[in-house]
Amino acid sequence: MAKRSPHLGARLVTEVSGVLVAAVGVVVLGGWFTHTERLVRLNDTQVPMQVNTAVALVCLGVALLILPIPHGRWAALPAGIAFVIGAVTAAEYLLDRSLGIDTLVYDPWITVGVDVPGRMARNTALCLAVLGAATIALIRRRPGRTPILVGVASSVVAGLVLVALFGYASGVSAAYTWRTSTAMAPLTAAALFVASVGFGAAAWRAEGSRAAPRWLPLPVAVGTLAVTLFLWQAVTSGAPGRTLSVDRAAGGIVGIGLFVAVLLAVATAAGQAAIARRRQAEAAQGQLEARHERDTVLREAYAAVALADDLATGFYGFASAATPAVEFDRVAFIVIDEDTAIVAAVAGEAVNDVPAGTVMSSSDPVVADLLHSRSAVLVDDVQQRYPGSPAARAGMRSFIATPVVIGGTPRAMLAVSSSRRDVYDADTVALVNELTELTGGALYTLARLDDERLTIARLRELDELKNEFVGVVAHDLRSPMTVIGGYVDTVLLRWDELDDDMKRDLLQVVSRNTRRLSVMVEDVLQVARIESGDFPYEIKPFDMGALVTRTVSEMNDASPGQLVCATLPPSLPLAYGDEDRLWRVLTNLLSNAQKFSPEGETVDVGVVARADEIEVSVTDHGPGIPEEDMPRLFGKFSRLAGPPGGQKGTGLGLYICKALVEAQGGRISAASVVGSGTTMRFTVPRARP
Amino acid sequence: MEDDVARVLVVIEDDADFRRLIRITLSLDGRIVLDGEAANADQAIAIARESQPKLVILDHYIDGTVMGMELAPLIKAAAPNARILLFTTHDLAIEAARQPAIDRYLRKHDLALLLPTVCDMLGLA
Repeated sequence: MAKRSPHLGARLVTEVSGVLVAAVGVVVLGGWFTHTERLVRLNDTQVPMQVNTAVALVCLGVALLILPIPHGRWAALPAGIAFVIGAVTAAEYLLDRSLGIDTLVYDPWITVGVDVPGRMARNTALCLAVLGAATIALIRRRPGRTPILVGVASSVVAGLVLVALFGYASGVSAAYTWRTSTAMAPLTAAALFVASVGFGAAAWRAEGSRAAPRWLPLPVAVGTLAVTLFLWQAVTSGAPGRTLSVDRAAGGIVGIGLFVAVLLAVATAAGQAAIARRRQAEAAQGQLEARHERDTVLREAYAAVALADDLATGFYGFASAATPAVEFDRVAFIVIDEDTAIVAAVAGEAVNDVPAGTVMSSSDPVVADLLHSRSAVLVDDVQQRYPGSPAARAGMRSFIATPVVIGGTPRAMLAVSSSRRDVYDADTVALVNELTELTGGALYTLARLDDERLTIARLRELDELKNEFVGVVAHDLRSPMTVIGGYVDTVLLRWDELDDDMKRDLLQVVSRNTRRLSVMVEDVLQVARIESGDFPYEIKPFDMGALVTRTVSEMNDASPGQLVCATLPPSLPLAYGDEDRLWRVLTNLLSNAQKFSPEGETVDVGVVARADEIEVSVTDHGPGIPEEDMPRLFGKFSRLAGPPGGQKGTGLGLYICKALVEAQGGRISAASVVGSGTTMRFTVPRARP
Repeated sequence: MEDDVARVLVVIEDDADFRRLIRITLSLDGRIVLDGEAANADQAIAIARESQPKLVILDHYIDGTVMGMELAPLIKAAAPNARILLFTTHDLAIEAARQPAIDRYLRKHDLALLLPTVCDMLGLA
């Protein structure tokens, strides 16, 4: 989409003519200084180009070269020199005395066809002065008439030198001598013609439009009139005595010249009008096509979004539809929610810089500006306007953001960006705005729909988990109930056959399973309370050493076969937590350790005080926990392999322990070596002195 | 005397207490001899292969990944002459009927029916 400079052609003409003119001047100067006659005049009868003329031509050429570049005002210097040379020589002719400029630079070694050695022809002097002055006028750039004046001056010079060249071609010496014996050299005439074309082009370019300037018919007419005038001059001055035929010829030339001037001016104007009409028609056609292309983009984008089932698909279609009309590296749909902005979908080559799911703060400068203005934001260079922002760090330069306003509140934004700066103009902003207005609401609905689907999936998963929980609990509660029912039935049915010892033994099984059942029910209720958040803690300083000692002796009393040994430091700082809840944790860990310990092996309990916590460890010498089971250890119903032949629990014990310990600001962890045992550790914060 | 002794293998997953309950219940009939007990599928297959019992009492929920219902054909393969009684807490009447390796099905709360069922399956009067 590179914009073509409106006056590239005019600039080219100016530059090329500058090169030609300067080259002619340089070559002739070289000829003078190296005494190469063929370089200063083409044959022995011709008048040579004078040194001053050559210097002035070099200056004009350089001025033409400099004019179109950004530092064009420096062209005033060479143009000024050319003007001074021309003007001073003209003054010499007017005053009829030497002002010392003719041989100032060089004393010529050819003096053929000149009145004063080294002095250029008066018509040459006039041309140089006019072109020099015109250049300076162009540089000063008074708005309004300057380009017209330069155009007219160029056409006058062109007319003058064309007549001179005609004189050389037809042998009418008066066309190039202007009533003196000093003639304009043919090379000078040719070079001045090229220069006049160059300055004409510069004047054209100064109008700043690709179309021909409106004033073009004026220099055309003036140029024709100049040709007429100088031809008339040649005819009238060429003949020594005025005769009827000369007068007739002169009159004819003037008549035809006027006619041709008017004709050319009218033709030029008509041509210009025709070109302007065609351009207008082309522009209208172009606008129509652009509008059609725009409509296609809008329609396709809308269709892609409207027919999509989810945001990713809809947004991909949206981005594909927008691609021919908007240049971008990435385009993102960002959902704004209270104080965060989440990239809901992203498309384009640079999607990975800011991937979908990225969360931005609403204090992000771009988001904040958008929320503040509630209208499209165009940034020409993100690096400059928001240096150090996330957008700048992601490499964005050009950036358009448009808000999706729903119910009066900006709910989302569309962000289009490119890694090149200054890519977007007002038209692109308007198109992106239109795209947003057309599809923003639907995209937002798709984003919401995706969210709802996720929520439903999550709820479904939770529901399944709950069902599973109910199933597992029901099964686990059933086992002890079946045992209790079976034993009680057996005792009742065989009351008379069984002796008292047997009855006691069977009822002890019933009692044990009843306890087991009540522990399970307690576990389930506790989980329900922990998960609903309805679980009070009474946190205060307490003596962890005393708690461990008491719990260990309880355990040893209950199951004397499995010895628990506690190792306590001589003094312990106070712990800070809920003693009853921690008793529950410790009991659970100890009974687990006992369950897994082989008969006769001890379970070891250690207590260590650290800088800000107290750690309790329980170590058994059982089979250990396989590596792959470790991650599930503290999960809800982590039904890992139970102790050999032992009873199963609900699998909720460690889950409850973890919840209890963490609620009091502690941590719980397990370390195990298969074949040699497991160590469970939990920590409690220390009380502040 | 040898003919009067029926060999029975018991497989129970969950619970040592329940295994004991079955033992006590069956001990009422002196003709029934418990030849082995297993707590999981691997033990069950090994014992079945070794002792070739006439009857296997099988629970559905047992330790490990294989459930009793799936274990039944494996036991039949290890001990082709064994008859299998699925003895479980759960209502698996339909599933048990569809599994050809299972000969009879009884729920645990019908403990009183265990001895008559076992006698019937072993052909004891």
